[in-house]
Amino acid sequence: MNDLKELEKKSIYIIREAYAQFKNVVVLWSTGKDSTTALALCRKAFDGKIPFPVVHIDTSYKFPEMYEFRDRIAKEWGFDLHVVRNEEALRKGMGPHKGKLVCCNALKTEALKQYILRNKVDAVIVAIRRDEHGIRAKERVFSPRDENFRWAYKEQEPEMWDIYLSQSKDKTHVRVHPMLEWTEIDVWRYVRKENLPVNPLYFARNGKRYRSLGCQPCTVPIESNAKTVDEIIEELKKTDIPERSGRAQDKERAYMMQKLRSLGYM
Amino acid sequence: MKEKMNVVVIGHIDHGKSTLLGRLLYDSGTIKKRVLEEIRKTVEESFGKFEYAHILDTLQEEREGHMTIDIMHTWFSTDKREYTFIDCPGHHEFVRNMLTGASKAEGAILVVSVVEGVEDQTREHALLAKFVGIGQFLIAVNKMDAVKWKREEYERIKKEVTEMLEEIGVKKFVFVPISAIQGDNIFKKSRHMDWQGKTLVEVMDEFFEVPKKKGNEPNLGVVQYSFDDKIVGRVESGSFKRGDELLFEPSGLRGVVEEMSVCGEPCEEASSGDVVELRVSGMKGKVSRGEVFAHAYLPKKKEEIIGEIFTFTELFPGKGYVLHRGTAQVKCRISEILEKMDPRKLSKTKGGVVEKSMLARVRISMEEPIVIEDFTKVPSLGRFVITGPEGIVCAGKYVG
Repeated sequence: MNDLKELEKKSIYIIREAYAQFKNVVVLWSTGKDSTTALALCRKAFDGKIPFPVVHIDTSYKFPEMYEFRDRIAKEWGFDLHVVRNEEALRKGMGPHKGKLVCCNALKTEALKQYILRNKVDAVIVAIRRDEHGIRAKERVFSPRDENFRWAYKEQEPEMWDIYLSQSKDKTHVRVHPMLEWTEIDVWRYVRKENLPVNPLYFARNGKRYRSLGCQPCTVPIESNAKTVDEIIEELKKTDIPERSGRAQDKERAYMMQKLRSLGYM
Repeated sequence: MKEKMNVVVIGHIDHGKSTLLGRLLYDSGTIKKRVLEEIRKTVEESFGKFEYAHILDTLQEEREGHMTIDIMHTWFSTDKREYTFIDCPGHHEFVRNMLTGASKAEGAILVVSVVEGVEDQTREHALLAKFVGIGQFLIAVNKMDAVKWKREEYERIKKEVTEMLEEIGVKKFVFVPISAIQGDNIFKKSRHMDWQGKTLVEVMDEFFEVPKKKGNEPNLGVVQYSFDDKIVGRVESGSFKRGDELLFEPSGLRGVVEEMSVCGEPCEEASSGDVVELRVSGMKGKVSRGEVFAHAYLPKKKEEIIGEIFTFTELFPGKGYVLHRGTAQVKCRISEILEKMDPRKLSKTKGGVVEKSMLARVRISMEEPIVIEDFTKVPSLGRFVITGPEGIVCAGKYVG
């Protein structure tokens, strides 16, 4: 468990560094708990008004509750929401039945790639955490991507102390990760402390709840009776189930997450 | 709330760093059973037998190549502390990753195989950990099973490592004999070495100290950006109050703090580590990114410094580079190489350029003045990186 105040300070510093160093910053928002926390941090960093677009990558396969939540919060918080879809792939019938890796890559990574090129985005704030997955545990705070979006995980630049730079000459944009040090419990404690809105799917109904939210066909709920944020925090202290066990693309087997991320997945 | 501490695990390749951490997570039950099962299945399906190091080595290339490539973060709690371990690659080629990891840590576990003893990256990693600011080293003398748990062998390596640490100027260190592969003296006490009383975990809790604020620090902060009369930045040492008169350097501008907030919440005082927004009155100009603000202290403004550096690529005297100190950046040149050393051999060398992977003392000339403080007094204002057109060239600290 981390000191939430310390985490908040470090994250806000990083978000402001991105804002100070890059011209076209965006923050990704899946509508899940982590990226909603990232939005809350961005609001705090800039006096309640996020000075750059909030990008939601819409695969069209998300839960109806996620779309409802997205539209409600966008209105309440009043930010500049950009909904991004890979329309061409969707027209051609892309979906999880074509294979999970292919689908994630087309509807998430490719959709983001098109948006970044179109809008000349040079920094993308992403709410990934090191404790989510062994591959994400190797990330840097500022992580460059080349024109093919590749993450050169074998040749990452040094990132010394808290000097955040990105000097890679091949980069087209930089992924900015202000929440790497946060853990799953930290996020829920922060949600409680700041009274942040979260999607109702996280709370148990009929003995099941979603611990991590993705696309409907590729996400399964866990057994749980946690109906409140307090109960979720208590549950997490005891569980031995990994957070993203309900997410198909995160399965350790066949190094799927590594392959996806090396191609530019978040 | 428990104390928090970052510990970097360093040492020569194949001396057992990842195995030690894997074993610790396994024996203490920190790694969740289901996660372990998934790793086991993945490894067995693709090429072979599960090893403790695979808990840390998550990349396919790392597991199949039996070698850590990039740093890995992992977590472990005792009754006293919450540790974040940063596992580092031991191969020389990946020393930049080791340095990235070490620069975030307050303590180091140096793993030394009792069979091989001190090797190139034992010296290099110890020296570089010290270079980035680590002052406490726990030496895990590993592979005791391979020498049949003999105390003489342990004492021999202890002597060898002590000499090496003294040579590079490390003052605070302690030793523990272990066997990572068999789990002796890591989380559980060894049944084979009755001459050693404590486990690595117990020694960690007792020996390591979380660095505390010293008090009496100069009041200094950095500017991230500013607009109108508002200045956004971070307090790097000491503290600031509403009503304080600020001096900005290198511009020399002055102003008074009228209002301040930390993380968006209004407050009367902000201290070291706080991200602040200041509304400052009486300013006769615009403050730039990278300036330092001070109260009741005169920041050190320099156009020429002596830096201790470690090179990631070759460094050429006379060539134009950019020095980055926190949020500040300024064009610079290396005007003189005073001394250089190969950290693998601890041998001093001479020559006209600083080759890749060398420690050196150099004179750096800046195009404009920059504020830079002693690394030992205000670390975040005393360290820097230098970049060239191809990317990061070296990391350094101000020594005079």
